[in-house]
Amino acid sequence: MLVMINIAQLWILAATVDAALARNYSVLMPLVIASGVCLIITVSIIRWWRPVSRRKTSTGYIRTQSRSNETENH
Amino acid sequence: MSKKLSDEDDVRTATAPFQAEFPYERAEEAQVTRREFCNFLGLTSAALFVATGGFAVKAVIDARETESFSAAQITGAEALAPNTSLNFNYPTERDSAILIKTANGEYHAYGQKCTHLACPVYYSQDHQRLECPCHEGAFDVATGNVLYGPPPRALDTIEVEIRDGQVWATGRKPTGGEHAS
Ligand code: FES
Repeated sequence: MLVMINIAQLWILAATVDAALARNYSVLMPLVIASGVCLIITVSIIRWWRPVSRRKTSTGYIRTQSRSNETENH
Repeated sequence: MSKKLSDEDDVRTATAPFQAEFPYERAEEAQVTRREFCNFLGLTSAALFVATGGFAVKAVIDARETESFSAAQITGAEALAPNTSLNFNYPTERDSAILIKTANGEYHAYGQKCTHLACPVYYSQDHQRLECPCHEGAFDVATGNVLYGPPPRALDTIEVEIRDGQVWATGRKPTGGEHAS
């Protein structure tokens, strides 16, 4: 998902360069806004997205669900 | 019955004797963690946003600076035979341009840089159009619009005026036209 957003932003950058060379100034602002929206989505994913089955620990991610199941089994 | 290994700590404990004999740092194996990779993509995203914004701002600033052009006489243009062209520089010495006198005696001038990858275009007398030798793009001689080929937009137009029988370039207008269909 993040890679796809990066590719979209790269495409937006190419469109901005082309619009600037063509002196098509009216589309510059929408392109900058679109790139900004992509950045906001990227930051949101990095900041808030967590796999639902995992919790963060100091050593990384561990599967809380499967761990508790194993403890019950033994 | 052997205990099922569930996470990295268990694996480390179970393999401790082997680790002692064959020291092997598992941490070094994963050079880039998922989180690091995500952060890298975040930084890339920020860099692309800054580049897009910077480019847009620079384009607008440049446009303000180069809006006014002074008129300049195109030397030798009045002696041009119909269906021929003449190269000149406008608006600055570094900007090459091409003046065409069509078969019916009209003057048209364009910036010589092809809008694809900036090769210099030339006037083809046989086809009566501007052609780019690099990737076979072609432009209409009367409008500067793209006839075919990879160029994404029309050539920059240079406005020409006849003053006392002399041909003058009076301004340069970027043309954001699309492919002529
Ligand atoms: S540079 Fe002119 S067609 Fe490619």
